[in-house]
Amino acid sequence: MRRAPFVIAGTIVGVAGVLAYPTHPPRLVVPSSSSSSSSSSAAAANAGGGGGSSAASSAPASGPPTTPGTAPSTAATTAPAVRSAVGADTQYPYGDLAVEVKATGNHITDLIVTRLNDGGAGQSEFIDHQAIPLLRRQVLAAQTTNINGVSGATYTSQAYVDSVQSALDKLGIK
Amino acid sequence: MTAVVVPARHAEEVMGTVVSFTVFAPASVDTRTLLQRACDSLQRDDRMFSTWKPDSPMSRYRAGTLSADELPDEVVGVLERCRQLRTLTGGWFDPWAMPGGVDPTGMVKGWAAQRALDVLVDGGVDAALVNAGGDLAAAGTPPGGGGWRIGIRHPWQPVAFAAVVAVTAAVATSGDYERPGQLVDPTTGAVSRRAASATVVGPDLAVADALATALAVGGSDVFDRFSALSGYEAYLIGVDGLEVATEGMPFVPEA
Repeated sequence: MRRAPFVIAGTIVGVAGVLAYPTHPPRLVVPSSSSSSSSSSAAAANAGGGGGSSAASSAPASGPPTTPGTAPSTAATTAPAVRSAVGADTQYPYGDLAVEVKATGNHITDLIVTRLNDGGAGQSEFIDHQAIPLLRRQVLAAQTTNINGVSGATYTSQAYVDSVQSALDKLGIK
Repeated sequence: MTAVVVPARHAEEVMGTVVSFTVFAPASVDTRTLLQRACDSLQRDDRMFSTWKPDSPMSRYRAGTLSADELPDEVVGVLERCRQLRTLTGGWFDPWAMPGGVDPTGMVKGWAAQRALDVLVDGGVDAALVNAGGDLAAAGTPPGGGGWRIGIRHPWQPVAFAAVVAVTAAVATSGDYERPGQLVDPTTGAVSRRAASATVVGPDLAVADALATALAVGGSDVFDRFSALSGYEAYLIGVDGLEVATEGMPFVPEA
């Protein structure tokens, strides 16, 4: 039960965010490219910075063309192509976020948050420093979001998973 | 590599949360129109049941400015189901014991999400998932098979999962981390602290939602009732971190 004070504090913040949501317009806390929604463009890459180090980032984001929203399939070249796509700008009760996925062939090499609004709910610190790095590590380790949804109110992970999944859809990675 | 089937996705702000949709449909189905109709259904139900909107029938009923005879059929139906669920849970789910008057919110979110899913199914989609702020209703099988894989939020680590379950219809998770103070013990009127997290899987999200609320409030007292509840499975994490689950809970082994 030593954790209880921490848990309660976190919960109160969370609820304040949910309850405040209908009356607070989303506020941008991590500025990013304005065009982070669905169309994947290399220009949107690297805009947000939130992702930290990238394992295989030797290729600049402006490199090979990104895969547009439609169907899949890797080009049958011998060397796996380095690709990236920005996932859908996904709403959650605190605001919205979008995640860019970088991949070499079908191997996910990095995930970068290109857009993050927390609606002024004071969640940005937690989301930036705890939630996003952990989610990023989980997806990199599993090489998939591996789930279709999250039960129990955990808005940040749900939005992150949804955005990553839509980027994977664009890249044709299962 | 097999072709990846890309689902349609949509997120709708409603009921004080965000409801997200994942839809797989044949090309012959107008998915955008269907999604719009599903969202219309959610917004309509929200206008009817919101306890935050003072002019909703539910709010006016609570305030005493609308009589039971004047309630819309949907509200009458939901309250009737709430009565049944109150009996089924031995009183642990009790919208009439909430502070501020009768409040079916513990079931309405799941009920409304289930109705939105029905719109999609009736419209001919292959598979769909409706996530109403952590309560999920599913139909069909997503490409790749194996059912819908749903992570159960860990009660003390908001971005970690306590478990992953494979769901064919509905899953709801309730815990005091969501809305502290909302889990009221109907026997005492005090805030309940018997469970850290309660998850229920079953065929209908309205029922699963209410059962998860009851399980979170009543803890092991409610867990013991699941042996008599055909079709519904329970997964309970106690405030001490101890976990119990009914035999049929469809856990997916960690990869």
